Amino acid sequence: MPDNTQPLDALPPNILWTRRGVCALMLLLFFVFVPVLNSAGIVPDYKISVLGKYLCLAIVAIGIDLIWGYTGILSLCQAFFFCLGGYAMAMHLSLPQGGGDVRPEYNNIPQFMFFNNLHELPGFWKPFGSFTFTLIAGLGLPTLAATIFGFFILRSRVRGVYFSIITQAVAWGAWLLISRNEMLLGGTNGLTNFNKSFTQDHHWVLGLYLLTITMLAAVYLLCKAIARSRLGRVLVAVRDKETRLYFAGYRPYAFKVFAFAVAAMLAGLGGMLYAPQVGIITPQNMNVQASIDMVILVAVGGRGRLWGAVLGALLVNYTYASLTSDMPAAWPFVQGAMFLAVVLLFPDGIVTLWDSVEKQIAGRTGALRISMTVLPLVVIVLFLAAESLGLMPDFLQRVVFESDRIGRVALKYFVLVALLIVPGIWQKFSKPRAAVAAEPIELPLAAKEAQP
Amino acid sequence: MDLRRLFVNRIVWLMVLAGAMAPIGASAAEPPVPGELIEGLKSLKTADAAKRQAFYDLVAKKGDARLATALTAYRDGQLQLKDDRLVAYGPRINVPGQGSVLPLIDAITREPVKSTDGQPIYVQRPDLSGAMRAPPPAEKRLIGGLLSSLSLNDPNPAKRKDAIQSAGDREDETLLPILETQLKSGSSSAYSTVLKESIGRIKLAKGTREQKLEAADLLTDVRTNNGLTSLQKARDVPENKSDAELSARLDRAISAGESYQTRIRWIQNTFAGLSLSSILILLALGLSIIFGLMGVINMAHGEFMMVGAFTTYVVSEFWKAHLPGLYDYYLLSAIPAAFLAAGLIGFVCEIAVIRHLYGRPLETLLATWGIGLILIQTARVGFGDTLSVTPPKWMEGGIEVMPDLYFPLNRLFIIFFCAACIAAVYFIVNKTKLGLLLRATTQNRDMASALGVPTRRVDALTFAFGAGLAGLAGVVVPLYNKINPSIGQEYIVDSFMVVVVGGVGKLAGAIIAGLGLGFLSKYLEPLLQNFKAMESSASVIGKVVVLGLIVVFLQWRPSGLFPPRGRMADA
Repeated sequence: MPDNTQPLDALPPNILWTRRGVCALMLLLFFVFVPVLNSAGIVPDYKISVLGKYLCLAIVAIGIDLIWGYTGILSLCQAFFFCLGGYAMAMHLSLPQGGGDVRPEYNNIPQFMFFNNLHELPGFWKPFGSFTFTLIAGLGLPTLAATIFGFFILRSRVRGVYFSIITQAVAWGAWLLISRNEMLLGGTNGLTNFNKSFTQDHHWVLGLYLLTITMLAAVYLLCKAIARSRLGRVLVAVRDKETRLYFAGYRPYAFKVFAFAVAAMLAGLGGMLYAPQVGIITPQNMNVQASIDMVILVAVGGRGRLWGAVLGALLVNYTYASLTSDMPAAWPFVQGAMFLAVVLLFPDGIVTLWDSVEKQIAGRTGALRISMTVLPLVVIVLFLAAESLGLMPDFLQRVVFESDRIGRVALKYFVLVALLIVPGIWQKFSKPRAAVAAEPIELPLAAKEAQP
Repeated sequence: MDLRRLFVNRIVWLMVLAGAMAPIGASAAEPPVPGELIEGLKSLKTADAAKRQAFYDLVAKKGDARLATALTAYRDGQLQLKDDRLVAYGPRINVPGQGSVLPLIDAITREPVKSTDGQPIYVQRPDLSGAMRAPPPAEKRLIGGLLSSLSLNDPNPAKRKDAIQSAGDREDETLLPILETQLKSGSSSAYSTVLKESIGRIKLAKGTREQKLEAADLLTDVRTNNGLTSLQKARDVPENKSDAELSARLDRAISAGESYQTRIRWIQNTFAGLSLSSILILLALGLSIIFGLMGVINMAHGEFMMVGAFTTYVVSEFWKAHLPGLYDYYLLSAIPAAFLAAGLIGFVCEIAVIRHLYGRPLETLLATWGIGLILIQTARVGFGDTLSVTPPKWMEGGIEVMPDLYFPLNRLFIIFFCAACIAAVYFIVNKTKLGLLLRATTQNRDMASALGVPTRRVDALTFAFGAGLAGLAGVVVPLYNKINPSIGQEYIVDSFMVVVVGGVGKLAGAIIAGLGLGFLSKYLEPLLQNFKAMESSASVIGKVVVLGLIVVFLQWRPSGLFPPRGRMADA
């Protein structure tokens, strides 16, 4: 599994500059391009809300990458932490703000509570009237829950798949609990009808989007810093050879609990940003399925690479959005196939594409070969941009095939599949030119240890 | 070493086992209505008051519930004698092409009367010109009383029991003499509990003080839930409260009833726990064997169960369409079909996917989840959402072991079926060649391989076997529940917990942990219901508490009840 702990100055300059260029391009795209297009009225508000929603999931995915990709523990209850944050924010938004009773006819309590025969706010709801408290709770509750749970489970040296299925049971138990009406959290309907409809107001939509992307950037930098630090190297050591680390005098469980707690906090942050942008949060957001759906974001993007998690989150979710509107019945098949493909065929995810691009740049391979390697990545990015901003050209939207069972199959799917597969086939069958042995850019730790 | 033959043997063995377990259900034919009663009814057309009275006495003595239709029709002046056959109009029905019509039915058997061309006779409005004349009002009332007592003599035991019970529910004091005669006659000892209960309830509500005292004793004797309700109601009546002796007796009866009912509830919880555990164990065994052998957590295990359930549905529909007379025996083919279908899909999955992922447990987890998604969606596209399988007739109802203690037959079947399957698994793993190879590969794959064990083939067969076991669990689930494509998800978390608690790859661990978790959750539920705040969500909170207990348990035993020892421990 690749890791990204190599110091930057060890990289050849042309790669360093390529990376910086792509990075600047992305920043420009997200921070300038999207807001400008939105303000100019070219990209509708709802597209921005959806993009913001998926960026929230990208924040969660970065957390999962930290624990799974770097530390090697697969948690299947991230959706639970996500919902702790989401529900905290949703509770705050369901309450009258700033003393003004927005809905006096509801007696200043959320509407659903009437079905619980309540006419007064329950005690544990009251603190959520304060924004500061909500912030602290939304970040603190998941962190606390993960720390306590992680401490007990990880200390008893439960690991590997054992840990995964216990966290799965946690997600399941929490989902069962929160679906009950007695929890006073809206039961299976969840929390909605917020006092302010953030999804309708242009300024809020753009503001929340900018907040989310800023948070994402901050989280990315934070996790990058963790991964580059000594701490990050210990995390990778936990992943690769836990027993050896243990006998070297470390306490692996402490590092695991730390990573688990950080990931939980990021999930909570994602949830807090998610609730206002989507306008509803329900127990469906926290069941086992939701948790595993979050894991697959990272698996598709590529484990052990933070930007892979972000790319994976966007790619999977936009594929989901596009398919469910065109061919609702097909999505579970595609999703299932995605799980299988990512495990069987591309265990390292999309990031491997970029790795080979970098390798070829470093090895000064021919332009054609590099462009063929980079083509799938470019296609993916263009697909994401077109889907997210609603700029898909009309001729690609044309329906090629339509049936009741399958739905509408647009031309874009054929083009997408062709553009992704053809370069792969070309590479497989064309002979590489005189091989300039490229220095391996990044070595797994285990391989490095093996070198004298 | 012909593994395939070994495996086929096992399947045949399982099929024989399943066949032996299907009870031979034959419902006892009811005896015909006594001829003298029918003749008496026919003679009513011409009989005078004395003869009619003699007939009423005969009915009161020999009463048969099947006379109810004819007697009602006679009372209302609608009974007709056609071609020496007692007929009447049945309730209005809708017949396509004719609208709402009255069918002519046989007054005794209630079957439609057919005209000469074999078609049922329908009329738009009743023609009562040929009907027997209705009796005078005094006799009408008499017949009304007869009708309600008739059902107390129903030849069908279940209906008779219901009638006796409902007499107590209605606190109908007019039936008291009949009930007491029946109790005294002693010939109906099978009904003595329910007779005592109803007599007690009627007397308690409507009787004199002496009768109430008597009733308290009767109800102390039977201790049934209905009796308890009546007693509690009687205790709160002011008139009874002021009577010291009576209220003392009532209290005694209530405490006797309550302690009995508590015991009954414990037994029922044990039973419910046993039937839940047996399904969990069946699922967990497959999971555990596969995990022990290959280190693979099979997230699609619940979906293999779903495949079994849907196969059962398909088989039962086939029997319904082609062998409707033998529908009660559809399980005979559903059991092997579900085992084979789930096993085959498991086999294909192993060869196509899981084989390539050894040593990467977390990836396998995701891959099997993907397989599960595909299976669920395939079922959804192919069959739709919620389906139900009609259970065989012989599985309806239950056995009343003690008053108020019912063991539903379908649950009993599930327990015995799962127990037989578990025994079969135990036998296969411990006593057969396939089991030997399986255990050898589990213990030391390299060494087993070096000694000539075809480990890859053992893997594939074991995976198929585990999937087949899940398929067998899928056969029994539709017996008590509706099925839908995502039904596997409801069971899978629980069965994972069984594996975690039991320890990986240990059959005994899975069985003990399955029993433990099943009982624990069923015992916790009533305990939690005692707390007011948790009353309605006790089962959910119970599950969460069990989960918490598992986490605590893992502090003490991180690798489960039966941890792997030696070299396996480090794997």
